Amino acid sequence: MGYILLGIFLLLTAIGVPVAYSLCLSVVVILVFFMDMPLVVVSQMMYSGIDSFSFMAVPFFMLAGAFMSAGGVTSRLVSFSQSLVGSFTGGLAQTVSMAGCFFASITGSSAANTAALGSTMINELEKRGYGRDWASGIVASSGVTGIVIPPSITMVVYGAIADTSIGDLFVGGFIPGIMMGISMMIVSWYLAKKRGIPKEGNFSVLNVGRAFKNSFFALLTPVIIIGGIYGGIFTPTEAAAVAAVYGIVVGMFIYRELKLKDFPEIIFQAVIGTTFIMFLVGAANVFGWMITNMQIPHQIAAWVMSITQSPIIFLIAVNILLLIAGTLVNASAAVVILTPIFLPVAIGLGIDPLFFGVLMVVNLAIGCITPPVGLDLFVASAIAKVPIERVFQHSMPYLWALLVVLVILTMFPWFITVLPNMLR
Amino acid sequence: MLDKFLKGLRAILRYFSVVSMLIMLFVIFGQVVTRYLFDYTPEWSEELARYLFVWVVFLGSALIMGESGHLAVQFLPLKFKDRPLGTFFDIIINISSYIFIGILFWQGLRMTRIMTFQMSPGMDIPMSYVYAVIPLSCVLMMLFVVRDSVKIIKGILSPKEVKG
Repeated sequence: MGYILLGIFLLLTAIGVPVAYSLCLSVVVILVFFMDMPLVVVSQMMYSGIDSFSFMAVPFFMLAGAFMSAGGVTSRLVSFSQSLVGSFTGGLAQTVSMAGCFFASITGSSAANTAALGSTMINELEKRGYGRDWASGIVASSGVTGIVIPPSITMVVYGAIADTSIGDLFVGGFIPGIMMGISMMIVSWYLAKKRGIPKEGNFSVLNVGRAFKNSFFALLTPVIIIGGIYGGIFTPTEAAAVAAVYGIVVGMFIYRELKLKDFPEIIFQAVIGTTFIMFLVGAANVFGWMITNMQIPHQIAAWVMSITQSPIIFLIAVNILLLIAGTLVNASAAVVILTPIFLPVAIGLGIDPLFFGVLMVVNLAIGCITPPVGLDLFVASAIAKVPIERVFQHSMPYLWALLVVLVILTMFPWFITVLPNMLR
Repeated sequence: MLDKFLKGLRAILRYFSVVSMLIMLFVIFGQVVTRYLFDYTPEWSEELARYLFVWVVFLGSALIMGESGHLAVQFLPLKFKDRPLGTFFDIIINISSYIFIGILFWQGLRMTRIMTFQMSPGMDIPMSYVYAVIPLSCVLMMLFVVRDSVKIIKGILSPKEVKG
């Protein structure tokens, strides 16, 4: 029966039936032909999956990022990053990765991050002799930290599904996100040295101070979110609403680039983005109810443990699976579908759900630039108008660096758990 | 005809969902403010936002079909596009959509009809008002599925007309 359920789901999905439909239809087949149960569970479980306060953080974080980027935050974060690292070898490329990290602390999605960086930085990089292909590779890779550094929509989704503290997940993503950013900056430095990109500009504390002042209100966003959640002032969902309203205030009244007429389109995009995730969450809730009913996660856990008792080997297998999954579907969607299957096994092997969640997110982030179909590659290719093959040819070195970070994180959970443990 | 109608429908849905989202945002933001300033949390605020969220998601699921579509793995359909196997896939996708949305419609309608007496704890409104969005959005989604059917039939009747 379990094979029939999974078989129908995989078959329909492979043909191209929307994943949400195939999740529900495979459950329907089991209900109708193998169980004597009313079909009303389909609509009931779908409803109860969507009717969730935690998930409401998803559209709010989308709005916060969109309001701020329409408000002109990106260019200010870029100048701040440039004042810090612009004078090194390959400074402008490093600036992009660093600005990616800063922008990640406002937005919760890597595609949004790549899009924001791409629209401002690709031409700039080209002008300074990096070439359009390399520029698009840098931008695609620099976007990935979007879902690792808090706030993160993917972490909200994981937290709500796995019943893990969203605040802890957010804080747990900090060090991994910064490690990813630094690893990419090192790659840029090395490549720029090898390819003879001239150094430019001088480091000046005065510049840093001025740029910091300009981008202060943007940089304050993560402080408000994390501080508010850990200070017990608000829940993650309320934090997201506060961040969105803060985004409106900063964009409209401080930087004054956000206009009222931009609102409908920004909000509409958040509606579409939210539905994209939430309809799937509802359908996955139906499917999750069925597999739990049939004790499938339990069976998978028993099966995995009959092969290996080692958490590391399991994590390596999960890493590989997630890298593939991350290229096929959007990171949050992968979390929705795969968490109910992987998490019971992880817990069975004694792996901390918090550590597992952050690792999953890092993994799926890297999946965004894994060829042939990583999402960020497409975004960068569309913005730069560079064929996708050339984007991933140039994001390859960054991909390797990120994989090294992934291995380090897998071997040493400390990097992920240290901050949440300190704050808890 | 259908396309024109869908376009008008999209405009209405878009308007509704954008307004709902704004209300959600300010209700939740307001809840933080009133709790901090007046030490008071309205008992309806979270519930209202949550129900609006459900409405937005379900109506959005019809809207999204006129945009990028629901998440699907496009690998095989793109590979066999404009070939008999591709058309076969399209037909399966189309039929699956009818079945899924049809089931969701009927069961959603049942929930709506049964729950007229159950009241929500916070706002004291019948739960059917909330559940009603399920059958409603299914009807709207169905329109988009019909549009896809028309497209497939047209494709079969006049094959390889505009290829490349």
